[in-house]
Amino acid sequence: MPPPNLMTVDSMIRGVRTLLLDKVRPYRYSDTSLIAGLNIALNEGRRLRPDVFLVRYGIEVPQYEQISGAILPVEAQFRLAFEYGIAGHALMRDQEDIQDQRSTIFLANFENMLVGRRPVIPLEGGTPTPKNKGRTQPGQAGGEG
Amino acid sequence: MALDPREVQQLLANAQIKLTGASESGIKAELYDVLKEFFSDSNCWTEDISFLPVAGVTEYTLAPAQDGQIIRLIGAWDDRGTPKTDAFMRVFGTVTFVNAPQSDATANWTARVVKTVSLPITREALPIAPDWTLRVYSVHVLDGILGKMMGQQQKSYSNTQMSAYHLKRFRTGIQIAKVAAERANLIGAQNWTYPRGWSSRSQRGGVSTAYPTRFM
Repeated sequence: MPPPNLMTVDSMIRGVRTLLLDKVRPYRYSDTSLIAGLNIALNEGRRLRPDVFLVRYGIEVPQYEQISGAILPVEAQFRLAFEYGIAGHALMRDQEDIQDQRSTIFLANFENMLVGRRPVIPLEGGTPTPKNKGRTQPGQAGGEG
Repeated sequence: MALDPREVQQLLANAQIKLTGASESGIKAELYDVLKEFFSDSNCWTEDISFLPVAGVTEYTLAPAQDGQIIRLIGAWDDRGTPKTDAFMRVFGTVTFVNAPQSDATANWTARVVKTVSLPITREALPIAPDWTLRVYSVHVLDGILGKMMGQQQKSYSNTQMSAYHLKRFRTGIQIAKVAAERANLIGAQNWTYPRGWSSRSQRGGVSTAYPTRFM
């Protein structure tokens, strides 16, 4: 199977599973939940950058019901942002604190890449400890300054 | 009639180089508005449309043979080339005469109109415009795109200062195109002439200039 290039729905979901470390069956994140994340990310993308979804006459946001080889009508330069958006949405359902932080970072990067602000940089890797928990860098989403 | 595809590709590439994070579809949408303003304010896209006058009829609907929307009337001439000074266009695309022709014309009259882009657009979401548009005025069109794109809010390419700079250059380009169209792209030509009653087609008894003719 070729490496994901995020051009199709199938490729996008495979890319998201790589980010989520969920490539081995049985999956932790079902196909349905990731497709839902894709649809939500597309709708959010429509809010932030309607020009990405311009068609000949008007704006059309595609919606999907299953994983397929359907081509995502999103220009190549924006596909990474949508991959982050889907991953962030999937991680939101997890209860772990570390997942909350990753979800926030993915969603912030999704938005920032679309509107062109500075990307959010993860504070540090690993499981949060009482020492570093809650610390954020200046300018980071949810930061304290 | 369509924009030169090579010029379009180069225009889109140049725009995306200068507009980090801009979508191609967004640039194409802006191109439509830019060309509409360009043609509307410069009067540089014209077409001569023939019509056959009928006795007693004052209004004639003009059907452009090419694409575009008629927005202005430059003038109307009868089959002998005599200007019809009582022609006007209150309704876009319909030439109206104050005085109806006395008899049916034996040959077509001509109305010269100004046009601008309109829907439909091409399958590639490009406006339909003359092929010379980008060949001649691509720099000014690019300035229009950059100015309008940089004027958008909350985008990676938003830049109020540069937007004003490019829009100023765009307006200058419109003026250049306007003057060139009035002078039929002839260097040194004048855009006025004496009324027919005072003008002379000969050089006898008057002062001859190198470019004595206007083109409208």
